[in-house]
Amino acid sequence: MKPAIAIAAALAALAAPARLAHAGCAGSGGSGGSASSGGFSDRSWHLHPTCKDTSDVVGLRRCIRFAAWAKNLEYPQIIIEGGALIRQFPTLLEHQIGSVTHGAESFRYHVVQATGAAHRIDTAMLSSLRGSVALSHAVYGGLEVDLGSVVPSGTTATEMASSGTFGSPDLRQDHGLLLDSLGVVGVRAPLGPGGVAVEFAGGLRAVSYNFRSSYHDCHATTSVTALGAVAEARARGELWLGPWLTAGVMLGTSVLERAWMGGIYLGVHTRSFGGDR
Amino acid sequence: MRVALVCVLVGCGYQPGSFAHASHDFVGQRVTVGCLDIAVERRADHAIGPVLGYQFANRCDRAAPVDLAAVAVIGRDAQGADVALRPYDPRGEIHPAALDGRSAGAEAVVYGVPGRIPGHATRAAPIREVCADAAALGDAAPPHWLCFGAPRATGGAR
Repeated sequence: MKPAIAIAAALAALAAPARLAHAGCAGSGGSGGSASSGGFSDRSWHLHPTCKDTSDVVGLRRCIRFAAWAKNLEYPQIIIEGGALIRQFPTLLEHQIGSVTHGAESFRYHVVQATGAAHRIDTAMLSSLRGSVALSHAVYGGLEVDLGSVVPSGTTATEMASSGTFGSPDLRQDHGLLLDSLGVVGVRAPLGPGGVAVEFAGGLRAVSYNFRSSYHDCHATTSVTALGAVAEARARGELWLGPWLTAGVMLGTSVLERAWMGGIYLGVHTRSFGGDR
Repeated sequence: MRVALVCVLVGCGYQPGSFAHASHDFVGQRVTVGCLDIAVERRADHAIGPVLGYQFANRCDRAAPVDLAAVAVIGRDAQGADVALRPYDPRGEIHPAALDGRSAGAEAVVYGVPGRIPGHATRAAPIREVCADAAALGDAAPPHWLCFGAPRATGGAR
């Protein structure tokens, strides 16, 4: 449920900047790229036990099956991990085109590299949530969602394609929002009090770059949403904190471009010590 | 459920030899067999026969076998005659299973006296003493017999 909510919230958040407008600036705002809206409905679930036993003796009870204590070994091992990541990657913002509206006037702009700046790199601080399943004793696969903020680099400039009554708006980059949706396949091995793994992660990156626009006495927020591919190799090392709990670090590098990532995480396992001991 | 969640979050597991777990009491006679710490108690008899409650925990980090079907149980009646008791298992549920490392579990089994099992002819002699081979629970040898006298109160199993 929580991953679904996080994804829905992320989609809603990606779309939200396009709808933000400063008070007193009716109709202001703007968007670019391929932003889309999202949402979710709030539903309440109530669990009512429908089966009650008067005995816990095998053969006399009906609600709890025999050997329920062995249930976790009957299924493949599942690992849920949450953590924090930092990423650096070539910006997806270059050559993007957006628009911003101030009152009745609308302006188009495109993003350019600031004069003298090197190839621009974005830095993002992310929260990560992922679930994986042991496909065999050593091989695992899973899905990962990373959501967080893109730090403005200050090397981005915009060129307005049009002007209005009071000239052109002044655009300044603000914090952006990044969402990575990845599939992961890896191989792990026990090592001492923990384990190591190498893995490949691939998927889609969506970044909403936000800009604050000032035009005469009117202020608005506009965003440009860009999509990109992610393909990276990672190495992970983790330590068992308890029979079902690990803490780990990971480092990765993109196989497509000059980018890297690093992070820390906590993992909950459905099998004690991953079934390795 | 909350206990399990807290245990996962703080990383707790069964501590070998402690005979203590958040969700199990380990009441009765205690014995260690291989990876298993086992406690067995005799509960109040059921109309079918004596009831034994088993609590077990895995001392090891790896999974360990638990086989309730393999536990030999012998009853002795008032005349001193021994009778082999069989678990009452009308749905054929009892089977060998594995207990995860540092985990605990519990089961209660009613053992049928041949004459009292539904569908069988009535046999009057009550079971005074019950002995169970706890080593067999952990798939181990030699046998480790735990014996229990008549329970203090009767009136049916929990």
